[in-house]
Amino acid sequence: MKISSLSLRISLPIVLVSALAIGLTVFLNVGKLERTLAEVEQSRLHFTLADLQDNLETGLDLGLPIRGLGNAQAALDFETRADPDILSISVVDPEGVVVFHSGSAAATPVAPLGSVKGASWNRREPDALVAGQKLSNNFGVTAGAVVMRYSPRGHDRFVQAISSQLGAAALVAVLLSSAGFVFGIQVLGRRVSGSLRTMEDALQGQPLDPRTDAAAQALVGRVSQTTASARAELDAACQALSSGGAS
Amino acid sequence: MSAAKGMNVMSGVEGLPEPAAVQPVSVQQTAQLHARPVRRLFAFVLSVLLVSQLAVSLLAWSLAERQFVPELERKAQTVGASLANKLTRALGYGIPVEQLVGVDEFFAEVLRENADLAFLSLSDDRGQELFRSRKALPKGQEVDPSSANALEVAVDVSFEGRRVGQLHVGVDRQYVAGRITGLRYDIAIVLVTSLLIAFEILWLVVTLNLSAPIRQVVELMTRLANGDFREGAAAGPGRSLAESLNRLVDGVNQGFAELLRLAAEPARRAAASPLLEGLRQRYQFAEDGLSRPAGEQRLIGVRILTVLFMSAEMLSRSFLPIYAGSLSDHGLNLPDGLRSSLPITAFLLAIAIAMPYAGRWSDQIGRRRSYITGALFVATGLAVSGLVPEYLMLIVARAVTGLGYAMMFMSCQGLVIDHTSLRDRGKGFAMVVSAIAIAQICAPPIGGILADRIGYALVFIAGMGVALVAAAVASRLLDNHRPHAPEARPAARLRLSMLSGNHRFWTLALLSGVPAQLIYTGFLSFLVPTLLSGMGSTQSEIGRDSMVYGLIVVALVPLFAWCCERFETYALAVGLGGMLTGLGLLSLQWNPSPQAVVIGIAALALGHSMSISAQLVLVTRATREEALEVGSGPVLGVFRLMERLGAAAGPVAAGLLVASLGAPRATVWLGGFGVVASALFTLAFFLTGRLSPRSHAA
Repeated sequence: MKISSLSLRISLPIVLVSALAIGLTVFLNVGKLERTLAEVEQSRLHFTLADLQDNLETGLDLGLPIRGLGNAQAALDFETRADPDILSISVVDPEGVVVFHSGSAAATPVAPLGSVKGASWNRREPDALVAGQKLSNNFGVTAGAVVMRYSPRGHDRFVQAISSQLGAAALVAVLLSSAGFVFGIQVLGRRVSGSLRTMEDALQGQPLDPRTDAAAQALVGRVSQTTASARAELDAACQALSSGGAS
Repeated sequence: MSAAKGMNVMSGVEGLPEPAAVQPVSVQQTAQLHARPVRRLFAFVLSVLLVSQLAVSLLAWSLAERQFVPELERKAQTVGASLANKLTRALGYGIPVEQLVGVDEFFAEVLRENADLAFLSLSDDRGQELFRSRKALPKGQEVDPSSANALEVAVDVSFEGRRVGQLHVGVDRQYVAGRITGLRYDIAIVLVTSLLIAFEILWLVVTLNLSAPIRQVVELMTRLANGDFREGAAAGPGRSLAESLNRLVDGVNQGFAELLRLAAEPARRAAASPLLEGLRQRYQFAEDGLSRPAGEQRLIGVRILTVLFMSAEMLSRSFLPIYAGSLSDHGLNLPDGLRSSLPITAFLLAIAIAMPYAGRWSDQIGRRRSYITGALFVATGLAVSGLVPEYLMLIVARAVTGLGYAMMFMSCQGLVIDHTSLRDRGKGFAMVVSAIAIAQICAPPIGGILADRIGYALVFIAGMGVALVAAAVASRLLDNHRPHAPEARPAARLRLSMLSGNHRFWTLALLSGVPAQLIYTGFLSFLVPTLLSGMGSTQSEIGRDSMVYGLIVVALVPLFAWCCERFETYALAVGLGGMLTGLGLLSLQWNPSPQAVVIGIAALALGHSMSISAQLVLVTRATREEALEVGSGPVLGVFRLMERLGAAAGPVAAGLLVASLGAPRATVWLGGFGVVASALFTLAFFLTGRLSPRSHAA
């Protein structure tokens, strides 16, 4: 079927709007899923941190300084071994200086804890998801924090997978709807052209297709009748003037 | 008409065909011939758009459910391991597992803090359930752990190397679906907006390429059926039919030209006169023998051009005061509320000052040039707003955006005047008004959604993109030619002294027009984002709530316009509309919540729907005498200027109130001002109506 330039002219802007709308829908969905995933991940990391917090705060409650927590290194090593996606876990003092560290990532000092709002925090760094939990003794004084750096590979893989699947679906939706638009508009255009052609044929004296719309039939009939009448009256008037008007 | 020959009673000339009396064919009767295919096309395109977007959203939801399962399982394992550790520690104190105290409360707290968990249970080593807690759900909703809704992970609880029990962690599979369902409002907004924009574009493209040419042919046939042979058809779809019709028209007109030639001969003049008179009574011919092609439909472009320029500016409406408030004012030490409101006032003030000049300038240089220049101003202003995070630059950029906005607005208004006659001008302006409403519905929520995800700066840049698209569309649709330029009127200037004694005009302007605009911009443009942001709403939610205004106005303006006309209640509508607006804002006194803000927006929309068109009718009536001298344009211009100055004052007044009282109380004060102004308006309008000799006029 040859696509007319008219159906292309009508279809193209609609295809563009459709693509934009579907693209925005995918963008919104991917964004929401990523945020939901981040929430679940953060919540999971905080469970791990909460275990460490319980463990380490037991020592702090006994009055030990943070550097004197004898079981800290073993606890950190246990957790990093348990989950290969944990890049590192550090225990820092109130100034943010690393006092215990375990894992493959280098020990990185953090900002002094006085400048950190809240008891826990999360942030995304280029190479890691970072979660922190303040440690306090039984007087409520902040004695340090435990900071976990987690591999973002799983997160990024998830987002990539969802994005590519939804992107592919969006592409298919755009292609299908575009084909639908072009085809539908083409069919409608042909139908309109067919009606116009039938009306034209009828004006030229050919019988009207009985399937033609009743209003179109009536209109064509009235046009033919009025035009014929007008021409007949004009002819008769000309003849009347030519034959008798001059005498 | 009968072609039977005999004595013609109309011309009195024997031998001419007898015309039969027939009912004329009306345009309404034949309109369905061109309207039906267009309606089908619209229904088809909008259905495909709807289905494709719904399909993508449904797929996203089902994908999310599947893809999240591994992550939820990991979370359940971690939770299980963590809780099992804690239980093991308790067992270390020598308490048997079945005698542990406070396990239910402990589980309940964990469930409260983790919305994705459905239940927690602890069983002994024989599998006998000892403790169980389930997520608290709304009444009537229960999570059945055995159903597919929960994903269960079991973790052993061991003590001294021996398994003493098992902890069961149930993850709510519906959690992710529920979170995704939270997107339904955003998706619905995208859906509604894309359908409205697609509708606008479709209307433009279909009108220019399909329906206008077909309508032209059908209307030509209707005229021919009624004996009017003065016009032919232009080329387009149905060209072949148009050519056939043109041949018929030309044949008839040539016959008439021949008759005129014969009638012009002195010897035949006397006989020709009744013949021509009779024919002219029944038919209308092209007197020079040539038919004129019917005019082209260009006015439709004004809709899409209005939607585009309004959308470019309104994309940032839901967050502009928040953005302005976040910028440092470099030592000016402006109070917070004032700092947030000044950029909005700069924009509105630039519009108020520029509009009268922009209208004349557009008349002089042409619609295309003035619209494109305005679009470039708007694009520049929005680009600077987004790219230069400096407070003073933002004020300058907003003023530049306002200048461009005024140019584009006046170009669109001029376009309507150019392409309409007095008879159909109302219809033309209705196109502009509905286009503004569509932009008001679509742009703020989309801007809010985007701001939440890509940040303020990129939304300004998106607005710049829309302004540039508007310029590109204008360069394709518009020209600088003015087909129906109104004839130059004699230079009659309106002096303010002419209006000084017109108390009704000043009552309308000062107690209705100015307060209505002041409250509109002060509340909707400034206080709504400030209030909702302070109450913790996201940008998407602020945009969504602002959308309520446009939706109500679109739905109710025609209804109230009809009611006012039908029952002659213009003054009542203006007074009551203002009162309702004020009362709506007062509701924040008792309940400063997002719901109360939405009630305020709805009341503002309801009040404006009642008063917008009624106000203009009252102004026209109250200034009938002045309008006779200088025309209604300059009088309405004074009223509009005062309204725009009121609009410019709105954000700054609200900002000052916020600085001293806080946003909720500022809203209440604004509402109180609305109520007092409306009460005074009603009283004063009633009094001036009784005392003034013009009372009969309004």
